[in-house]
Amino acid sequence: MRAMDKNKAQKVRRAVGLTLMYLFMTLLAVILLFPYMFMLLRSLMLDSQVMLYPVELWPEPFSFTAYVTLFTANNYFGYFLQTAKVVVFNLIAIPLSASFVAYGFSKYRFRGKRFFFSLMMATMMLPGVVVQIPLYVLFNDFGWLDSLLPLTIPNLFGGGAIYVFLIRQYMIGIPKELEEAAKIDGANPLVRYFSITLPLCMPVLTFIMVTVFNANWSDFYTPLLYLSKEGTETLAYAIFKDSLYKFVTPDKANLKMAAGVFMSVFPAVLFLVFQKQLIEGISTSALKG
Amino acid sequence: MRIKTDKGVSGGGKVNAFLAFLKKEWRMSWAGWMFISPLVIGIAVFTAYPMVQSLIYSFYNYDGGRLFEFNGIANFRYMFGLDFEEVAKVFGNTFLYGIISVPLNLCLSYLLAVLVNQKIHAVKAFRVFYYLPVVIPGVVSGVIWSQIMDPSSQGVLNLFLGKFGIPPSGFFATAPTALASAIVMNLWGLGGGMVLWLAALKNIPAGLYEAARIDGAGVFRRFFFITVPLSTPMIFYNLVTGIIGAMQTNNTMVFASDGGRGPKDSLYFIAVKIYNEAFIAKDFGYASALAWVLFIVIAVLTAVTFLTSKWVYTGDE
Amino acid sequence: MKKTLVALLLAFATFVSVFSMIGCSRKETFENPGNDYEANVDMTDEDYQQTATLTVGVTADPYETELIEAVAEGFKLLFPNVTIETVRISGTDYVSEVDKRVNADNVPDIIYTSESESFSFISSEYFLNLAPYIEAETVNNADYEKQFVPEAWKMGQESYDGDQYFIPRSSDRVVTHLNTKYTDAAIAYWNEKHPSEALPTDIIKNGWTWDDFMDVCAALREYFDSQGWTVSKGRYLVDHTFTWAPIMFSLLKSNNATISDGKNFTLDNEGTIKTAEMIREMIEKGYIGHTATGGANYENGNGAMLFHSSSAIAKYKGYIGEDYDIVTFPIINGDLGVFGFGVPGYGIFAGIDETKRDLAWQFLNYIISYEGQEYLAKAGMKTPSVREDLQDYNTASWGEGYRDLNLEATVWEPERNYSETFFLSYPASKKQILVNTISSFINEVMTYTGTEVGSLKPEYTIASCIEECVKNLNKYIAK
Repeated sequence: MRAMDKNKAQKVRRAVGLTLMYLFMTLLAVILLFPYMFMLLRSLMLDSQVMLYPVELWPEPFSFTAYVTLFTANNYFGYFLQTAKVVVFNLIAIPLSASFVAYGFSKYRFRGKRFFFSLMMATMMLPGVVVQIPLYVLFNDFGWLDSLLPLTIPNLFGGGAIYVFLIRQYMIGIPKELEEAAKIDGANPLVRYFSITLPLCMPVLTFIMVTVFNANWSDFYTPLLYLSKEGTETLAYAIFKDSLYKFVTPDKANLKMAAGVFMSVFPAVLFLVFQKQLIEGISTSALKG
Repeated sequence: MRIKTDKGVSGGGKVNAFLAFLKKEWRMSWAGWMFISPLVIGIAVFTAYPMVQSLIYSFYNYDGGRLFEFNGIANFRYMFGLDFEEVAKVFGNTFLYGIISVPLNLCLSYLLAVLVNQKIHAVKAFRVFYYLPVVIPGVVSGVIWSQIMDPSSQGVLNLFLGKFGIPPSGFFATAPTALASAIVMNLWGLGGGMVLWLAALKNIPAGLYEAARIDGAGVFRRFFFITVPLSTPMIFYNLVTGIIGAMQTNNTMVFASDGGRGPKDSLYFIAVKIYNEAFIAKDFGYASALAWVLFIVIAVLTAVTFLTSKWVYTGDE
Repeated sequence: MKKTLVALLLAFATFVSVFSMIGCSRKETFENPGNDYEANVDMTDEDYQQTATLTVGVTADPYETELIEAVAEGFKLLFPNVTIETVRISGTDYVSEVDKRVNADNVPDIIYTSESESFSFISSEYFLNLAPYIEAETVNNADYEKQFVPEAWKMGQESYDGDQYFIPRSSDRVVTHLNTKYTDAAIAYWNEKHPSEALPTDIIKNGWTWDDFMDVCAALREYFDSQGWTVSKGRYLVDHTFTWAPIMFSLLKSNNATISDGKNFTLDNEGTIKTAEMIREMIEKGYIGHTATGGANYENGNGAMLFHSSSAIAKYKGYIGEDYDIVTFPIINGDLGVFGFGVPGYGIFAGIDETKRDLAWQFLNYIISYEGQEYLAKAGMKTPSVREDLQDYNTASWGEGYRDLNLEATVWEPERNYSETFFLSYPASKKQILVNTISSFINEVMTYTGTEVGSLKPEYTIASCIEECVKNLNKYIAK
């Protein structure tokens, strides 16, 4: 009897503990998701409601006016297109050029390999601010300002040390036999890279593409440096600029929020679709790096 | 070719040997060189060249336009002289932010990871919820949080805190609270650290815990003698990237008043100052000097972290 | 195999060229001749018949393009084979857009500027010193000092010493833009509620004082509140841009403030404090918001008044319609009161092709000729001409279409026109940063949070703002 009681008490204690645990976790989730909801709800308000104090949380009535204003009175579709151009280019360019370089580092022996590899790793530690001013001058001399070239062309050259590193790690793990067979068949290095090794790297490339998407999608700083002409702004930069200069009065808060919702939807969806690859990729990059 | 070798035997031999050496080198290395050539060009054009240039600029009075005259160490003298108060302030802010933010994130995200590492139902959904804020672009989170942390006593967070009798705060709008608010806001991205910890925890053999439990080790002992030592590579990685990242924080430009300075310069970070000096005040020379000082600071910090990294478990021992 | 060789050669070439660039200093895209050049103002028949194209860089505002196109029409009568081409220089910051063009070696022959932008252009040596041309014209009996409103003319000079860097085209004065729907209703409302303190119905007239203005604001505040348009709903009365140089310096000047005695910065004086107190009084009474622009949303018909340049009358008439009118800026301190004043104009790019230099001068000189000014006016220039003989808006063309407005406000008591003289003794290269520092001072004064957000403690006492500002001025001037 006593043993049963003890067992029961333990069960009850566990159930209570579990419930508390779930309550706590839900509370945390609510706290972490609240800003989302706040943004979403306030983006659906009319400007006459959004400017009210004390702040209201529930839209009364629900209205899509803010979104309409974003795409009609403001050029948010144009900003979106600009971002899309950058993102699409980099989504192709970075994985390709990074894997190209990584292939060299992982499959070939050559003089200076260690040197160049450590050079590359060193650039990872380099703060971007040190090079930003001369790069600005350089791009100005090229006549690249106010175009998307500074945001895209540099990515053709390796695409970033961290990506090269990740792909190299992955390629080292690919069995040599496949390569050897192709070599015997007389395939040259470019063919071997493109048709044999590259397709095998898809998992790591997927992770890199998702990361590249997020990085380019949310970058407001680089466009801030290089794009000042009206109509060339990318989405992130436009939100930055508008929240500082255009949507400043309290009655325009709904526009800010609507722009935020519009901008967050894409990365959020992407995350939900690719969460497995993303989380795995992050873990490996952190643990191996 | 043959005629040439006939003419001068000894000299030609050297040349030939050298040519042969080149040929051998070429045969061995050409493919590798080809594959890494984009990277090498990229580093040369977009990293090495600009780095040297910015070092040169830092000794010039350069406005990004026509004015480009050598002025010796005047930029540095100004930095450590007249402008020192502000320079010290921005570096101080940046350090303070980094020193609090990086370890705080590391600790809290560990707790979060432990929470979602339990084998209970629906835990995966919670992982997704906790990670979701991380994918929100920085600009957007800046915009959201400056709304939530409305300095008015009628703002949403102040109203909420008021329910618990906490007096309204000025958040980003008053100097004493601004930096703390930025640190709290940064906690929204805790999910990023959580994922890293999850991976680290997964890498720890479950047998170790079992053995420790049998030996009677409590939660804390298990944490300090198993979890922490075996997670040191992750902690180390986080420290290094965290330091480099924190020193370059510029997202305050989104929500800090007065062009990213905040009230009484309380949110003024070094990266923002460099931007302001270069692209607002048009002093490329002084901005480059500041950038180089920042670079040296970061290099020293990273080097110190690496040199004192004996505590990192490498798996070889 | 061949391809890889080419790739490697390319890599090598890039390496070499890149590192050889390191040694080079910045390239000079052009040479500024200073005043050491031949100025030829006597045009022969052959000159009049020459075929050439002059490019004129203007801001993105379509109005600027229209003005140049209109003048070009008249210019064609003199030089039938000369084409005037406008180049729109668009971007968030006009000055840096011009900088970019200079670096990219793509600069128009003539560049639009306003006096505030000219500091940067002059210190970067983009502008040709026009003194030789003016001298040559003077030999031909021109008298620029007499022909032009002196306050306007001088602003094309860096330190008022005769070295003319740009030619002012028109003069803009800060005026009060009104939405009479609100002001009329507010005065009526006030007079009904407070018959003993009734305001005269014509209180808003040219030459009204700052006290009158504050009385009207008090009436407006009561009226707005009675309509439910309270401060807590973000309804303020006045939009102002007090941080904009022409307004900010006229406030300081009117209050008899000083900034510098030529050697030291003397911001800590009664005049500055009074200016700061004036602004804070408006904030505390809920007339303006904490934002840099006032927050009244005049443009969309929510605000009652706006302090801004008279050049904007066409724009605001379009927004406000029937109820729109203007009146002079309120006079502060009686005879000391001044009105902020600025001039847009054009300078010749110092690196212009020498063969076109004389022609460019001809064009500038034409813009400020009687005919040129009338062409500008017909194209929609609403602001007073810089010419003394075109000041009367009843006979000149510049007021056309807007005669129903109180145009007198734009020329009333011209001796009160004032442009910044505080930094006259400082070089152009320092002026911009000094002006910006005063702007941030005014901004700090306004950042003080008074009644609206009761929980905040004012960290920005006027004394601390002044102290901060003087510190910064000293810092920047020594840089």
